[in-house]
Amino acid sequence: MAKTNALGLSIKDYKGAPTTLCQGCGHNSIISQIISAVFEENLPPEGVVKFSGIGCSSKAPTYMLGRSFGFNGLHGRMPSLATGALFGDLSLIGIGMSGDGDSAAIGMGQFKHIIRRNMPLVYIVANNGVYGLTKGQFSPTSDRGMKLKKQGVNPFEPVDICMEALASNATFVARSFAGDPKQVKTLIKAAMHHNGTAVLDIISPCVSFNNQPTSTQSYEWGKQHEVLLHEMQFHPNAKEIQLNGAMQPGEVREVTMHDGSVLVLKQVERDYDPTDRFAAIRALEEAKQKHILLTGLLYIDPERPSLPDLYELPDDLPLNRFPEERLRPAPETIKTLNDLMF
Amino acid sequence: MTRELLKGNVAMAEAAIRAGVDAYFGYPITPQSELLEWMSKRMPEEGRAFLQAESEVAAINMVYGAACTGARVMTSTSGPGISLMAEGISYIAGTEVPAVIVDVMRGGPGLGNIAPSQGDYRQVIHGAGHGDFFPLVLAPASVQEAVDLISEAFDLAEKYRTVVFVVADGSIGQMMEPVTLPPMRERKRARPEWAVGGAKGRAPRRLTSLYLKPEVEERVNLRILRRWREAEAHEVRYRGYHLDDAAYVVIGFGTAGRVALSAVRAARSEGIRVGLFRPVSLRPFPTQAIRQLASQAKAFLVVEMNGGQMLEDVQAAAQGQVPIRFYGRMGGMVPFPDEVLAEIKALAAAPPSPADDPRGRWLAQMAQA
Ligand SMILES: Cc1ncc(C[n+]2csc(CCOP(=O)(O)OP(=O)(O)O)c2C)c(N)n1
Ligand code: SF4
Ligand SMILES: [Mg+2]
Repeated sequence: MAKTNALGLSIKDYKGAPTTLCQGCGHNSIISQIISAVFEENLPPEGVVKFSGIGCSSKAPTYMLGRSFGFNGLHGRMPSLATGALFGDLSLIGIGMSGDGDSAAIGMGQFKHIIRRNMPLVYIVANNGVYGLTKGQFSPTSDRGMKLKKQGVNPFEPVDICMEALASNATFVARSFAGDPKQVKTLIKAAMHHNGTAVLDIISPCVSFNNQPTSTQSYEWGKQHEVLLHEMQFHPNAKEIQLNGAMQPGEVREVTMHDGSVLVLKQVERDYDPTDRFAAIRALEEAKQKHILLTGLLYIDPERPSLPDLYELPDDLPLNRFPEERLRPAPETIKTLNDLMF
Repeated sequence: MTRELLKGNVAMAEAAIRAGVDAYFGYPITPQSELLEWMSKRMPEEGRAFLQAESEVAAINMVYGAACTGARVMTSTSGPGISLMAEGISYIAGTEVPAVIVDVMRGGPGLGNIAPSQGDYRQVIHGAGHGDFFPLVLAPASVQEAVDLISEAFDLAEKYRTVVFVVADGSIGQMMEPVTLPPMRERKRARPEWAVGGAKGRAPRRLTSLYLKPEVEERVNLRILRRWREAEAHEVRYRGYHLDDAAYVVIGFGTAGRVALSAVRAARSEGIRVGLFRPVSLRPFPTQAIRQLASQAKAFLVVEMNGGQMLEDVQAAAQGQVPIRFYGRMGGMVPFPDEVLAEIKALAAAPPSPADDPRGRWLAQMAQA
């Protein structure tokens, strides 16, 4: 008998169509972790809605959560599509999958503005430093000095997705590595419980166009240079927290999410406070200087109001299922309005 | 001159370099990306400007900026990119500066697919953008013709101070054919008299598409329109095949025209007096030539890789003088010569009546297929 979750569903209920991405593509590993995270969190697949733009990464919705609704949007416009769609049904958990070209080139404006508005969305950038789908051109996150057979050498400094997110006042910023599936999964779980835009910049090697060991987006480089900010455990229900053997109090930090779930962070090299923006910016700068792949939860602000909070939108009922009585102003309100006008 | 086997996209890129393009700005999109890739390699080799923009919106604005300095400048993309460039194209036209845009058309609308299509016809003949202007639109049917038209496109753009589109469908962009490339042209040209580039010793020049006073904007619109009328008078291009004694005329551009030519030849060998008329300039449209044919032929067959976008221009040109049959394939489908041959036979066997609705008849036929 296949293992089932609290809803009595098996992992099969969370799968999508078989992948057509290249074997070994980092995006495949991210997709698997999304599937596991939603399964393990006992979320009904119908309660999740998938979004993407265009790119190999943006094909992800086809290969996961076949029972969830999905929107495949325009190149770079996933954040706007998600904003519009989620307004219709705020009860859904939005998971967006985009690429470095999709989010840091054509869609940079959209990327920044969904963050600025703090619309609840798990925003994954599957970052391979190249345009995979159009067969290998430079992307805004390509390493300076990266060589491509058809295009020569990239002369430009790369965009740092996490830095851009921080600069836009993101309330959840993490970096991870497709070669570290456990961490990817934990971060996705936490992101699904975040009340705002959760940006996950996941280094996701493109085995066809950018996996040479010198590339900071390759498997080999990532494996050799990954440094953890912390080890993580996610507890959807705070009452159940049991620090397992390796985690002793004193070395850990707990971050309580907006919905009461808790993320436990165990110190690795040094104590790191993910609620400190300065620390996050410093950590990113240092990682760049030291030439390391620093992964983990860089920054979180669990309490900043989200867009629906600011708009005071009701969260008990999706807007697209609002009954007429609640849409129509009360008779007294109409009367006041009429009195004001005439 | 030597002939080389080249992919359409690469041949168009190299032709632009030989024609003296100073700057290229673009964004990858299938089925056009090889053009950008070739430029990324070759332009720096030649000491010229190449830049991969962050989007088509950025690319067309880079084109706008470069065009104002009098540089020979181009971009290339496919349908979704043209849609994004629309605003910039309108500004370029409104500012009356030249630019060349290659559209390697793919199946649509929306994301569609990456198969060859002619679905952007209506979009490009109106220049995609807002306001009153017409671009010149050239449509090659082979890689060689694409090379030849690219070479001419820059001169035309400068002559009429407007946007020139070269619309190739995906199959022209992707296929390999032997071509003769033109020799490398001298790049040194006098800066056009309207271009900006420092006003030392002369009155400053002003390039704009902003005319707040309607009476001034109207004068500019009229100037643009007069220039367009000049282009209409001098730049109509088309090719005719077996038309001299043709009772039936097939009309198609680009790849549809090329496929139709095979069908026309096959029909000829079966004794059907049929010829092919292939518009090369879609704007200006060869209205007069088609009107002339309409007065001679028994019937027309319009073949397109869209739902009859050029058909409407053919109908307008024919002025009801001749019955018209339409055959189209859509969504990235390319008609086979056999399909067109069957259409020619059907046309010869039973010409439609002038009152027929060609698109309606074709839709009914497609519903049965
Ligand atoms: C408007 C528009 N321009 C260009 C394209 C072509 N295009 C498709 S995906 C892509 C880039 C994909 O790169 P990225 O987002 O990094 O995803 P990856 O394939 O690397 O996962 C481009 C340029 C498009 N679909 N739409
Ligand atoms: S081309 Fe690269 S990004 Fe696309 S599926 Fe293959 S490995 Fe993945
Ligand atoms: Mg990419």
